[in-house]
Amino acid sequence: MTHEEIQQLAALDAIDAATPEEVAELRRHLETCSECRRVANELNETAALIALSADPVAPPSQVRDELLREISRFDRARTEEMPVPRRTRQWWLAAAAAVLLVLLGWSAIQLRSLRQQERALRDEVARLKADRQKLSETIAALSGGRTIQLAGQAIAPSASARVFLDPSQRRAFVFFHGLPPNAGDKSYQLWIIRADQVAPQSAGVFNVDASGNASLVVQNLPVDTMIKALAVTLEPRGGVKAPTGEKYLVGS
Amino acid sequence: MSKHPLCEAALAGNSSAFGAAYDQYASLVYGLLLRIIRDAQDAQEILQETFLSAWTNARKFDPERGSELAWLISMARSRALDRLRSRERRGQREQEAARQISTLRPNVDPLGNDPVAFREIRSAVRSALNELPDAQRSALELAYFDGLSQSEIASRLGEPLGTIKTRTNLAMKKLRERLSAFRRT
Repeated sequence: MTHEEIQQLAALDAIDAATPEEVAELRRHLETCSECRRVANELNETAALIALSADPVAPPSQVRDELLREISRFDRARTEEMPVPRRTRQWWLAAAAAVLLVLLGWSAIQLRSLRQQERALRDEVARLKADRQKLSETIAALSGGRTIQLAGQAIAPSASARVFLDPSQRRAFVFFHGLPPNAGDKSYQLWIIRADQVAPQSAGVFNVDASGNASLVVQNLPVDTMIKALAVTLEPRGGVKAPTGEKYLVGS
Repeated sequence: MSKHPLCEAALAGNSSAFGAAYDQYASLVYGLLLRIIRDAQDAQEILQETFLSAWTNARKFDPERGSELAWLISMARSRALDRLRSRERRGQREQEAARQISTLRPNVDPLGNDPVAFREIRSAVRSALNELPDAQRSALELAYFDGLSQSEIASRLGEPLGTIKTRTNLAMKKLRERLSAFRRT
């Protein structure tokens, strides 16, 4: 299985929707792959966040009272199960054993902590290497290819965007500036007007931040000689199949 | 303030600190339990079992795998789904769910015991869920809150299994991206 397929299993497992066979496959892979383990941990944490979409409800106070009673019952039972020390034992034997236990415990904790630190550092190095690789690829793409400038239209004259084409990977990096913030039920949509097609082709949907900025990576780009122009319209949230809204940005 | 107040209290055997940590989390976990099993008595039992399990198993909590709240939610949800499935197997799913929920509503206290941080997270999670296409959100919620398997969802919605898996995956992927600011991992 590829890492992507494993991460898809991790998404299902995070919400307990994977089959036992899928879970076994996932566990085997995670034992040896720190990157997929990181993604799986993020997905597990994301799954827990979904729970917070439910309204909080204060439970009746007797649940808390009963819980604390159960805890004290549980602790009493545990204490009663422990063997009673024999009074005839010499005090120094007990003291020596206690010191030894403390030392052993302390060493075990230190060792565990060092191992955890080592594991975390290894993961961090792997992550940084991956990030560096991605960054190098992005810089190479941004510096070598053709760029297209998009200009703000009458509705947003101060808006602009720059498109960096990376034909070798058939992708483009697009940076938008100064667009008016879109309402919650609207999204901006980027369109490619192709030389070989009449209908514009959607290249992605995005929302801008409070300053009107956004960025987008367009994958599966047409061959750049086929790109006649680009435009951005405001559409219903999630985008539409063909543009219906007013043009905010246009460039060729 | 401790990042793991519940587990630290349990490991120290400090029941009053454990009670304070319970106060911090209980309404979040109880709200989730009611949403899943829609029965106040069952929800209260599971809530108590979950926290008792946290007290006895605090050593098993691994902060590298997520937050203490995520650990607690995972235990509570898993117990609730088990209870839901066994109830359904027995064919005893109660039809009075709606009535129970409505009688519980007066207890909902959106401000008390719900720190600002949790309110912000809730708002972000709801926005992120609302931004998902309906088909993806529905597949995700049927799995998450109703405990349906991917095959059960496919059969209920009359869609191929592969389509349901893809929708669930896409939904989780988008939520992972949208909620990155609120994760600890």
